[in-house]
Amino acid sequence: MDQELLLRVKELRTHFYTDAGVIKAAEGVNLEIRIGETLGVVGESGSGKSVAAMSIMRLIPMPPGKIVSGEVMFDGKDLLKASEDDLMRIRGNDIAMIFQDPMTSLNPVLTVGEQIMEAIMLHLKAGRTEAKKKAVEMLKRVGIPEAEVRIDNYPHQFSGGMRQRVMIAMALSCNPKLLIADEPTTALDVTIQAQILDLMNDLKRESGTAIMLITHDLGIVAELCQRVLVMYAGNTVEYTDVVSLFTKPMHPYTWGLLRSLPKLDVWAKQRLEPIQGHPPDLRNLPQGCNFAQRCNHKKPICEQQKPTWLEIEPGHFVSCFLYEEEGKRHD
Amino acid sequence: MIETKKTTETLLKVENLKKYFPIKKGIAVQRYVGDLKAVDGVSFEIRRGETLGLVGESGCGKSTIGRVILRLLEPSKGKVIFEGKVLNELSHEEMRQMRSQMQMIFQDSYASLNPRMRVGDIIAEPILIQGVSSRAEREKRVCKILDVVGLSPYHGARYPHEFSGGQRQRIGIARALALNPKLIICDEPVSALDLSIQAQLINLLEDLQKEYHLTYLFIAHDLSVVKHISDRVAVMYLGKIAELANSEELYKNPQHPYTIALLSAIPVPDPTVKKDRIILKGDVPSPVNPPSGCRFHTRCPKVQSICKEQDPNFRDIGNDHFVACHLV
Repeated sequence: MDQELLLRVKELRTHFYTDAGVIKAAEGVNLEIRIGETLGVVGESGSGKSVAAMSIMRLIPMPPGKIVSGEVMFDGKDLLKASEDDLMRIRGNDIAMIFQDPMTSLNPVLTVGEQIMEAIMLHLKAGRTEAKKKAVEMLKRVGIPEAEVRIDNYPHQFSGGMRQRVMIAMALSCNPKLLIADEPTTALDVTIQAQILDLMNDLKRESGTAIMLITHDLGIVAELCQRVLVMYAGNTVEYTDVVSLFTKPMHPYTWGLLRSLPKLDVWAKQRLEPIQGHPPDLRNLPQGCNFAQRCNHKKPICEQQKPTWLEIEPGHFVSCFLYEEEGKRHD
Repeated sequence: MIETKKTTETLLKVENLKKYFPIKKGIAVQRYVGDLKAVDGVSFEIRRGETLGLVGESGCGKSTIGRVILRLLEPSKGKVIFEGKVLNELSHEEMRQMRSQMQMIFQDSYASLNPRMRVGDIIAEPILIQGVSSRAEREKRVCKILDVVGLSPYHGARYPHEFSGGQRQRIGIARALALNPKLIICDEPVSALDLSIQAQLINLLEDLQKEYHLTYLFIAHDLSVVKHISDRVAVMYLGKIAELANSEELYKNPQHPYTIALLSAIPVPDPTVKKDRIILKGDVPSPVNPPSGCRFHTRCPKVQSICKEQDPNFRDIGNDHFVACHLV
């Protein structure tokens, strides 16, 4: 295993067993995150981005969910085989998470101070006074004015952007090696989003925490991430560095995504080129490639077999039959 | 280039529009404690055949404007003039007839479609109210409209929950089109949709505009989408319009510090571009107690003493470009 590799996920499958059928929410997720790096995970709703993140943390509600197969190597440990005690130590301590909606992930009846201190006391084995000092320090670091006073406020007394700052303070209070951020700015306005992205960039530079950033905004990916993973209907379809993704994307779905984006720097009246059709029903996935029915480049084989995850160029992975001959099989 | 084929004839005019929501406190006896100034003195016009984009952050009053135009909310002050008629002076009956010419598409297509009605009946209802009593005629028109928005006639027999988000938004558009309106107010019509579906809907709205000579008021917070679809764009901040200009002019040559900051805050989907971002400090102030003078002065990077005292006029700086700022 690569020395710098922090997390490697291989062929992860997570299914949900419901009355309406088996939902294959993650069906072959492959990704790597190196130490201190930001990986952007993009894809449409239902593409399995959040399920992949929850599976890495082993936070999938079971039942109805089940991690069917795969491997999640974090810092030399397979998290899918780890005991619940080990996981308790890893969550919050080594891997922290922030969510899209900071209001539902904060406890409304506890002050934000209590909530940040709880994590610090549990994971860093600190006493109350020490934890409080650390909590104030964290709130200052994420740019909350009058942190000494605000620490005794309740979540509803904060604005949306401030709540997300509190979540970030809480997540980073134990110096995690990996921060999973699930659409951290989606609910925020553009000017507040800019503040939060700026903050996350600064904190990453200071602390060296690796970030797995789940988003649907390709602009955020371009500005914040070093590497990108594109997901579609439970599959990872492309993984590469951020410049290659925008300059020489390989998967037809990535082509479609980039073309359907309204551009700010193009002045002539242009027409968008959307991807036709809709994503498939996760209960009833096609036999072949999940994207085949919407793909303009499909070959007969695309509707019969699943494509494999191939390394076409060093560090550029694609799962598509267009490259099956030239690429080498990655193991 | 400014598109010359659009007419300059005014379809709808809004004059000094204000909408205050009273705030009351107390459990048994409610006492009035102040106003939430959602829209506070807004004037603009929409020209026949154009798309006017209305952008701003949450709580700036952009949706309230859409609702006041349709008289779904009564304005506190000001006038809305549609084709020369002052809408606020019409009786309920006259207004009901007028609404067939102005329709609305909402952001949440699930909440705005009755879950107990079949899609065909949802689209047929406005046609029925308008007085088309023959069932066969209504069905014919519903089938045609479904086809126009990219759905099939058999979809009419289904219920809203059987559709995906993008398809439901098509149903919302179909219902708005049912009465051949002149103006459609689109309130964040594509914000809840995924990128590839969003592009489908934007293209559909553009096609319909050409085919049926529609005029759009396009309310959204996504500046790239607004730029793509709009001929002119108005930027709102805290109940007032900060800047209004031709779309290309606004994005190339923004004048108001808020517009400049807003544009610089958009993440650009190109990793080779590194831009200087203006990060505005703090949050948007409350519309209950808006700042004195220029409402943006609390966050403005170029604030002067005059900004704190006087409210700037919304004035024409030439080239059909309006700005409310002391420094321009």
